[in-house]
Amino acid sequence: MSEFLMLSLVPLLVAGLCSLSCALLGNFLVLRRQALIGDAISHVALPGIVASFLLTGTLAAPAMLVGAGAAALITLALIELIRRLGRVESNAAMGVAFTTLFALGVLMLEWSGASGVHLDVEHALYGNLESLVWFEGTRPAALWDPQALAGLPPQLTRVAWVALLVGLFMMLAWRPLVLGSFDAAFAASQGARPGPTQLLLVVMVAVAAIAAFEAVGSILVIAMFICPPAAARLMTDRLSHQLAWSQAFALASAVLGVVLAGHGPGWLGIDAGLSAAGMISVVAGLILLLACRFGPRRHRAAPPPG
Amino acid sequence: MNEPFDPTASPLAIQGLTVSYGERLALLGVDFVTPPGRLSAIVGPNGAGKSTLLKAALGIQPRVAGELLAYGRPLPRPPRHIAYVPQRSSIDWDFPATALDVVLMGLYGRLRWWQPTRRRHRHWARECLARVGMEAFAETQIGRLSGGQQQRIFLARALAQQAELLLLDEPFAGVDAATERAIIELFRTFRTQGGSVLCVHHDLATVRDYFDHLLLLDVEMVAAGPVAETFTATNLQQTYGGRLTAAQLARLLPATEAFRP
Repeated sequence: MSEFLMLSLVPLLVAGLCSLSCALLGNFLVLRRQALIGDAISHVALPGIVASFLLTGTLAAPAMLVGAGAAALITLALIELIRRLGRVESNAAMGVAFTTLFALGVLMLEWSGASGVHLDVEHALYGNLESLVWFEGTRPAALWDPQALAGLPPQLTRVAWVALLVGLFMMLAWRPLVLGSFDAAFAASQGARPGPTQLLLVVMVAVAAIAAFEAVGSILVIAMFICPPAAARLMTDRLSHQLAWSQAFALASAVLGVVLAGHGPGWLGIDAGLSAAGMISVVAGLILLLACRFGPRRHRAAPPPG
Repeated sequence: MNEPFDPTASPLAIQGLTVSYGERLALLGVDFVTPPGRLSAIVGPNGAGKSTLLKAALGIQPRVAGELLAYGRPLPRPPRHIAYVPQRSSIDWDFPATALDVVLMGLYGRLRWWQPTRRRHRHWARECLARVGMEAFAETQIGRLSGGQQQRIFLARALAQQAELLLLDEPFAGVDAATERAIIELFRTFRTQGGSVLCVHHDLATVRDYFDHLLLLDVEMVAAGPVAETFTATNLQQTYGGRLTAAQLARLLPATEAFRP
């Protein structure tokens, strides 16, 4: 029990909250056929965080959030610029913008390492769930001991705030979001401002990506954005039900991923631990695979002619 | 139905509307006053700027020049008295929305953006569905409806909005003859209630049967006015750059019209 509290509880909560908030936003990325934006934003969080670290010298959450948020906005501007100047599709512009910035981030990260400070490349890329240890969680009573609770890793508070923020955003901006995703021209004619709504959605994606950065790293977070909503879309034809399914799938991948990564090899008699982030993404991918094979709505109505 | 009308009674009057895509002009100095309580058609060849005119009138498409007026005053932003029914091909039919969801979207302007829809809104949306004979399909995902049913759902959305003017982009494209008649009947009912319709239309053969008023458009305005006066061989040939054959014109126009020089 104390081992669970100390080693597993926080990773489970962090992974779960990250998955939930990413999947919630991911529903709209999938519906708007903008899955790549999630990928782009999550990748440029890396150079953003590293740059803010190099500038401020701290890994404090506010600095990181501002850095990654600024990077996200710069990327959006860059994508638009490449699209207009190069006259290429926005997908191509996105591909160019985020790989370049991500590469820049990797180089900056190495440089920061060379300058003698600790910002681990591997953790930034693949996540850091296993290191979220609650040292005070030695007994069940710690759960209601304020002093012990104060020792919880700060990442947990951070992702909890982000989950709350994402939930609020979805609740308040629900109708502009749906209208803009479904029929942007009509939305514009009704004053639903699809442009600013889209921008706000991307900013929220950036915020969620930064929070998830702590949990699963910047590469695998895309699985959290896309796999649960894509699988959920195959389960139902109603948007509200799709959201519920996506949340269930997100939670299932997070919990199963953390548990399997920690104990799976042990059950097979192998004395090793696997990356929890990797396992979460694999489980999310498997759920999507199953939904593709067995989802009740995988045969959708053909688009009408004309 | 050809009596003159007061321009300040028009739900949408356009003056000198000019729109360009980059260096290509889509519309040049178009004037049109939508007559109130009439069914009007915008007719012209491909690339004449018909859809662009609708979008510019809604403020979706930025314009280079031109004034937009509603009832003699500058058009409000957003123009909530105008309901827009986009081209069917521009809709994502795979979207997880039911017919009722789509009709509820028509209520967007009546609520604050953060307010959720309530029971009375859903009740009103169902009423609008019933008016287009689609109440049985309220819970059906829109991609599973036939082309005509889909078109009626969007008309119900316009009704839910309680619009005074319907702007439609080719509402008869891809619907069968029965639905076409049903849609026209809806237009006529809407007209008897004082509503106006402005509709991009492709089928020259039905213009005289369906519409009261006409805008012939080929980037610039060729002619505008009551169908009886405007739908002439000369105007049509000018609009279509002389590409209509005499046989086509003879079918479209009454015998006396077709052979007038």
